[in-house]
Amino acid sequence: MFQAKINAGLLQSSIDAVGVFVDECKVRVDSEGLSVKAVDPANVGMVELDVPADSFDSFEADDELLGLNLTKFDDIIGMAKAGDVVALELDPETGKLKIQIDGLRYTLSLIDPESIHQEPNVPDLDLPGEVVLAGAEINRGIKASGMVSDHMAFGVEDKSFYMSAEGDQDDVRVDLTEDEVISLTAEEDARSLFSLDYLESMSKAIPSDAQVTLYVGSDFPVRMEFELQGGDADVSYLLAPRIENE
Amino acid sequence: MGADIGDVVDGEEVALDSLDGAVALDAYNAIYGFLANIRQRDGTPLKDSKGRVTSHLSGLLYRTANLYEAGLKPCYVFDGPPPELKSATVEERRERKQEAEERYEEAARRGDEAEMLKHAQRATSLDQPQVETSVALLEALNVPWMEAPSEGEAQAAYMCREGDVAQVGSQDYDALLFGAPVLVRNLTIRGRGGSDLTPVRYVLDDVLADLDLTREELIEIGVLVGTDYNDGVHGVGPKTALDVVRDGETRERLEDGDPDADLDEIMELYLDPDVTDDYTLEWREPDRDAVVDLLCGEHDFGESRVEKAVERIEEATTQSSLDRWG
Repeated sequence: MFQAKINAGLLQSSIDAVGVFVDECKVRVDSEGLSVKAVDPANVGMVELDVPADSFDSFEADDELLGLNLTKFDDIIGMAKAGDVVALELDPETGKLKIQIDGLRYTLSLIDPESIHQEPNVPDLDLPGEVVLAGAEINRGIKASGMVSDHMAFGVEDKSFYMSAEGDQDDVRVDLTEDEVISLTAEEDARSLFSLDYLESMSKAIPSDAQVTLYVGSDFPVRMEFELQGGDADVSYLLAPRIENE
Repeated sequence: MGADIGDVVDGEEVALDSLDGAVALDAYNAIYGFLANIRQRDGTPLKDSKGRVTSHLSGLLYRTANLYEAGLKPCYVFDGPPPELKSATVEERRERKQEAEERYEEAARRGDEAEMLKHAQRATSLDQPQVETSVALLEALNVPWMEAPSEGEAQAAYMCREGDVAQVGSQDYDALLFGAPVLVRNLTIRGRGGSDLTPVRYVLDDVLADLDLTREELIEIGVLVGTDYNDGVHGVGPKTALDVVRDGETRERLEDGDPDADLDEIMELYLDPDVTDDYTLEWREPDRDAVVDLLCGEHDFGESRVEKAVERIEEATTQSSLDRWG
């Protein structure tokens, strides 16, 4: 059983956060809320989304696993206007998802969850650098790096956090000291390199006004945690690093 | 060719993208396949402006890029000196090729393209220059390769048993007889008309459980139908061989039908082949300039296509996967 009502904007940004890595995913619903764990086909980027039951206008669910085509779902939710409420209901007879947006009814066929890429195991990583900063700062660093290269570094050194990219011709570097970010803890210096292809897509899902916690290690995956719409949903990204040769 | 036991072992068709991890490829098997299949309609292989055959280089570059892109990490294992028992097979193959060459000439005189293609494929030979250019390309691509102390498939199977690669890639079933836990066929081969063939994955434990056989008994089936080390019993196919093995009559049938075959000696070659721990598997970024020099400079490949393939390999060798931390 699954029956819920949710603000269209929150639902849209939740789907977008997952859509960065996959076109279809398994959605878990239970009494606690709705959650997704997914990894892109190349196993480079992982997303965990958690929308607690409280964040819905109304929410009732027994344990269900729904196979969702995100591209289609995104198009449907795109029909909503700002402030609309989306009603979702799993039809127990047909196994389809009934979606209602202000008089518009859409019956969406679900995908067999078995046919979807397995949910990933989330690795337990000990990352020495932890920085909390505004989404706008990260997005700016990613945008600037994208102008000069196809990969960029996140790093911590001397009590500051940096983003940098070296291109064939031009270089970019953003340094943010302890005082310029919300908080910074670095047990040791760390630096890892990442593909901008991935970061640029992730950047689109990171709200400028969100407070992002970024964990970085040396040649380790980067973890970014943030909240959508002021605490209504939690997103956590994990991105595998580029391999630095030589 | 290896033992033709395909009729009794069941594999599972899998999507190329669903495979991952390292794969040890039987290099001669792969390169021979490229030389046989990458041809024009009348059987002429790809050649550079100096008339040197380049079908194998084309196959190696593009298939390697495809494997990388699918998330696999290829390494190529070349045969070393063959075991003595195999020399008869080698001689027989040489004769078959000679015959095919003659029939190709005949077909060419008639202008029969289909027959020309057929016999040109059968006459495919893998000579030293092709091995050398293959190795040069693998070096430039920074794809790991090695020469086995003896049989390439035996070494590949050993690396798979050691857990250094997740699967062996070959068209031959011998890897299973050599004890490879996982064999995947159709990784480096294309079907007629250039379409990709679906990879088929064989898990040794499942194969043995399905047939309710031990690995020794599977080898017996191979010996009955014929391996690189013996002719096999005339008229005995894999299904009959399966019955013979189940009835425990392998030795009797061999005495009658293939008296030269020494079951114990062949068993030993499969169970305890000459293999080595002397290898390192590292998948590094290709040396783009070296690849372009070799393929475009030396062998007249088109630069933009080569660059694109190199870029696909670059992407795969520079981006790590979360599996490493899983």
